[in-house]
Amino acid sequence: MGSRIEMGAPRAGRTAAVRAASPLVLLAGVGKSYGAMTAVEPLDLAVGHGEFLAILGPSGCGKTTLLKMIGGFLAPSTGTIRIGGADVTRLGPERRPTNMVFQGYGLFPHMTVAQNVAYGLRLQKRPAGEVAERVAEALRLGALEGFDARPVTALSGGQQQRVAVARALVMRPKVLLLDEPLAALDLKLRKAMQEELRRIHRSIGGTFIFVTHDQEEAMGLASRIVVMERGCIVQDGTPEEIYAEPKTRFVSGFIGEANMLPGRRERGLVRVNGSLCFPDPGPDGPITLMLRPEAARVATGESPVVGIDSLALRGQVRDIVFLGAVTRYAIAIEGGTLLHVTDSDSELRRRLEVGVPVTVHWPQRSHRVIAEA
Amino acid sequence: MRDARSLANLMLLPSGLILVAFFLLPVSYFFVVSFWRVRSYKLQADATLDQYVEVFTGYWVPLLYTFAVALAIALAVTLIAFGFAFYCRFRAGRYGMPLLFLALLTLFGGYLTKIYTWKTILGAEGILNSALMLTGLTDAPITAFLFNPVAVVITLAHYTLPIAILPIFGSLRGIDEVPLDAARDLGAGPCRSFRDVVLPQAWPGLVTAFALTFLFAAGDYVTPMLVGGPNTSMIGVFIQSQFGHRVDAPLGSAMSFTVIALSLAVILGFAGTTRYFTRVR
Repeated sequence: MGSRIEMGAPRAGRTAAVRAASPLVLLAGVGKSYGAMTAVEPLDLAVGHGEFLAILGPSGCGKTTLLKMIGGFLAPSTGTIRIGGADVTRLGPERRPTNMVFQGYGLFPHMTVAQNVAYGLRLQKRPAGEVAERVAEALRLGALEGFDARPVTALSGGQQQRVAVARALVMRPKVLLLDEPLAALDLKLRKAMQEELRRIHRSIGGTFIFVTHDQEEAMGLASRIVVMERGCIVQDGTPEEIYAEPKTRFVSGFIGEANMLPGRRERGLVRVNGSLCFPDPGPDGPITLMLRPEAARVATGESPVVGIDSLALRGQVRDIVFLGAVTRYAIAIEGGTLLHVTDSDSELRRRLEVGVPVTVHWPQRSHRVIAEA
Repeated sequence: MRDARSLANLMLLPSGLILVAFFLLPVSYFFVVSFWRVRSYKLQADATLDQYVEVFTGYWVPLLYTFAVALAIALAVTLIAFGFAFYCRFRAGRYGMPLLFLALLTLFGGYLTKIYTWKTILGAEGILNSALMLTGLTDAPITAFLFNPVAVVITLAHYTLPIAILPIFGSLRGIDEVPLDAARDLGAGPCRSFRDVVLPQAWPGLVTAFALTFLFAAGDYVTPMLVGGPNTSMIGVFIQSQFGHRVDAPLGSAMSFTVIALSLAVILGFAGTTRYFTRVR
């Protein structure tokens, strides 16, 4: 590609070693509270060069507050923020090496596409030739060639979004911040923009931090996800780690679909739903058994064949929803709890109908036992 | 589609008829009359520019005075109204709307009421003089407060202020706050983002406010008569007298169209100048 838009930092590997050695963004004890209300509990976070980090959480979890503190729009109540080694805690957004893609984009409605993108460079009083060159470059990166003279109000949502990204990237920020960048787009456009953002991130090798409440978006874009709940970071890891090994009930429920069965662990033995009992080492107390819908299988007949390591629960089909690639079955197990299982087997779908007795089974390694605090 | 358009046209019809019958026709009539003359108290059809010559030779002083006063009022009021509207929109938080409502509440007080209010405040027996004498700052009432151009400016400014606040607030309300953050993010300080983002978008409201205030002030003849004193008559006073006891409709019409044309020039001048200073660079 050889794109000449570069972010202000050298390219670097994404290894944990590099991340730990010289984090680009370093938050130490950063928190924000409004009077008695705490939006973000004091937390630490290190973001390495070249990372594509998602801050994921439900609305009101403090993720946008955190991003705004990194961008300089909110002053933290406690802690310090360092970017590229320099303390920026007390600096406003106009003096930070960050640029933001705002929720709703925040384009200047009275300017054309090119004027929007050029604005920051004009403020820096760059020579006209350099401005024109860098604007053209940014427009090319955003696939916006030929849109220069259009008023931004005449653009579609997806185009406006790309202008917002181009306007921020033209400044060559050390860190690009994105606040719910795709929330205002419809599903199809969102998928396309995800690809677009991944392409841009790859081609300039920059550091992106974005905030989203959409777990699919986080999984699809980020190289690392930080999950927030009530102002705290509850888990930090790669998308694969977070999906496969959610640390808390909240994370497992928030990332992807999950069945949750309450149970207890006593002396290394877990009991769930009365009939299910299996060994699982750990401290005594209440637990939640988390089972992904695609991890379980449905079997019919009196004595179905299940693996040695597998667990099984008897139940009855309550609902069948055909979703295209897969079919989702809602199965009422003993005690009335509904388990959701997805399966792509069309032969199974023909055999099953509402009311049929079935057995839900899964290998032990595919569920997760989460101790309740 | 065609039905919708013809329905829209149909709905425009009543207001269109009213505009033509009660505005366009009378104004056109007086425009024609401004080229006529009066002989022995009777209108005579003619095609002469005498009346316009008379306006510029015999009435240039009140004309100039009128435009100076109206310009001073319009500029001051637009500025104050912008400050107030800006405060309501961006700084007052949830008190913004109540504050705006309070300002508009003053519109309930009638036009004449306000003129007499200012007479009461500024007069020899007025509140201002009583206060000054009570505090011992002056021994005798100061008569210079009233019956001068400043009194006219104060009175008209007070009356037109809420009328100017409305259009400015309207245009400020339409300004999204996210682009203001974006401007800061791209390196603009508060002054730059105000100049580059707020002002260009507030421009239509500013011009509307200026035009409303200016036209009101330039056309008013009651305020100068009541608080302006004997030698400070604005052109409106003379126009009124041409149509009143002087019975010189052609001269009155010529004066009116001169004022209309000059007012348009002033407003366009204001719009052009401010546009230049708020353009995207």
